[in-house]
Amino acid sequence: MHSQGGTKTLVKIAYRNIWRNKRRTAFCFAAVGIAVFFIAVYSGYIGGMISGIRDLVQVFDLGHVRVVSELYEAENEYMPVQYPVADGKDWRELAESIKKVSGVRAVFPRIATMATLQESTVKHAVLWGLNIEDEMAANTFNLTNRDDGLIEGRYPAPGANECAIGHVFAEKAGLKIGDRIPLKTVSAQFSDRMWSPVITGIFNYDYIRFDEKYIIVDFERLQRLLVMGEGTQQLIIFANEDRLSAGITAEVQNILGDGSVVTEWRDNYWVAVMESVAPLYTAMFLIFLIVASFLIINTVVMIIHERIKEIGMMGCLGMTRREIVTVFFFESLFLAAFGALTGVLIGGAVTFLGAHYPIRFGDLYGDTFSEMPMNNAIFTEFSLIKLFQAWLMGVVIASLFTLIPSLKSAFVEPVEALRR
Amino acid sequence: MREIHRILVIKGVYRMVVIKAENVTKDYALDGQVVNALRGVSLEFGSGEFSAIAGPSGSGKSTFLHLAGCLDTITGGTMTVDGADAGKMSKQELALLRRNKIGFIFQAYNLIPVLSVEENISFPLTLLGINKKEIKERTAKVLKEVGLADMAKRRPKEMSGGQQQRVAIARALIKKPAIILADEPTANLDSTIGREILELMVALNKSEGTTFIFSTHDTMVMDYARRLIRIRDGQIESDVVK
Repeated sequence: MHSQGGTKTLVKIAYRNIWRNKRRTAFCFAAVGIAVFFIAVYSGYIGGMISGIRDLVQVFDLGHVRVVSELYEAENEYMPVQYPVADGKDWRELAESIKKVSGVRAVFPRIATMATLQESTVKHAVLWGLNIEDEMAANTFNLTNRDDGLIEGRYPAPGANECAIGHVFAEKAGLKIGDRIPLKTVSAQFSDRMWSPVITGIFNYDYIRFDEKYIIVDFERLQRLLVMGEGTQQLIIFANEDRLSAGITAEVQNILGDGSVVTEWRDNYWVAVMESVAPLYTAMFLIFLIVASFLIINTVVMIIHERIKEIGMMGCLGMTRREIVTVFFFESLFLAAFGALTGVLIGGAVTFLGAHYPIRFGDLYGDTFSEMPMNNAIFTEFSLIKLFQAWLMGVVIASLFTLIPSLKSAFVEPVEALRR
Repeated sequence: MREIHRILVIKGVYRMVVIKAENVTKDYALDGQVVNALRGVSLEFGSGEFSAIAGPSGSGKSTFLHLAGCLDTITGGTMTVDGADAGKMSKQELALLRRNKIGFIFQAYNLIPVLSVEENISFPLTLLGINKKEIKERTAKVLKEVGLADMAKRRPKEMSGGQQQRVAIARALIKKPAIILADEPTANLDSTIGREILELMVALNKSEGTTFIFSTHDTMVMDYARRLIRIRDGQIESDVVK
């Protein structure tokens, strides 16, 4: 006796069935579409926020891996300069040995320390010593415009008594290129150091913390000012790829041994927080979809009620329960798939726009999130994989939920259905 | 072998029992009360028969047709369909028996509205997993037999009631079932169209040797039937071969 066949025809019937009541189908598309649109846009926004935080942490704070001394780490909020890496060993030697580690792209020394400003309405700032030319060549400091962030003048020359300041700082303190900034800081020997660098450049990193409080100076000039010998406060290591940072961290820790704290960018508080809340977003997305699925569930229940005679006829033709369920399941699958596709297409277009025209987060919220390493502008993350995931999530959840009413069709007895 | 049987049946040389009901009873629960829809019905239908079961509403004729069509299960007795004891089969097995052996024609045609005429007709063969080429050939042949060759691409809603019933007949016939059960097939048609449909079924019965059993209270159908069974209150009142 023949038993199987015709799945393609059953799918064809299911596909054609969805167009029998176009208005109802449109509502189902809209319900799933709105949920998936929201998932696509919101996951793009969260993804953009996470990658923005990651970029800022890597460029401005930790690189992929940061090395400091244990004593510095214990008092890092005061930015002490008296605890150099590896007890003040020449940073070039340290960098050379670290560069031999597989996956390391670059190693830079950095010093950050507090300064008290004199003759200024702005009283405090952070002196930030970098190998400016090398760092600018290796990284993008303005992550919004993807450039070095310089909006006026030039960065300080090596060894010169020069500095660059953020545009917000310049505005607040009423400073311009050519002005001097008389300031006082404390050296590694605990002596007061007076300095008065000339402003040669004004930058805009679109990152309020730096634009407002940081004074960029040449690393060696600051090293000399703070009487640090050949040592450095921090060594910032950049890897060829994000995923290599864990391995590099372990190897560098081995090279430097006890006394040094080697930190991976993922250990940053904000990066860890954002990554730990990601499952919550997934749970939230699931709830959106479940709510949207109720409309399809309701539709399938109505469809089964309306087509009860048709189900009876299917039974008369010898269709098994599984085949009858297949028709209704595919019908709800099509409703979910096309609805989700609509949501993904519109959501994808929005995230694509957001990836090119950022949301001015800082303009919207002011200083509310100034403690977070967050750029003023947030680009949404346009990812085909994420869009596909949003679509798949929509289809799978809506289909699974509609499987329950679809199964109901299998328990309609043909003879009962024909009597209606 | 089946083809040889068919030819012998058409020529009236051979008669094979396709449905055998022995002391069949069927009880329903309706509003908390037991209704005895069939009370010990014993009937036999041979291959190539063209029979009608007649009786007033509620007499049990549709119930018998549903049991013979394996759409429902008997309460007592035995019901054998093409040699298979329907009373001992699971729902899945009954579905497969219907798929392979039984064709149905309904008063309301019950076509699949989203399929074209040829898709509706070929659907039973698709379920049987028959290859495309054979499906195409058999569909074309049946379409010609029922006079709808030029309407193959139409949807049911684009056709008259008589035309839809022809499609239903073609759908029932295409898989060459052991038996076709027709539940009030002319009830929705005017007398002229009803007669045309009956003429078609008579012709197919003669040419293909297909067994037809009708449930009806249409006198015209009773006139066409070569065997008339009258049923009342769930019992056989008369069984006359003309």
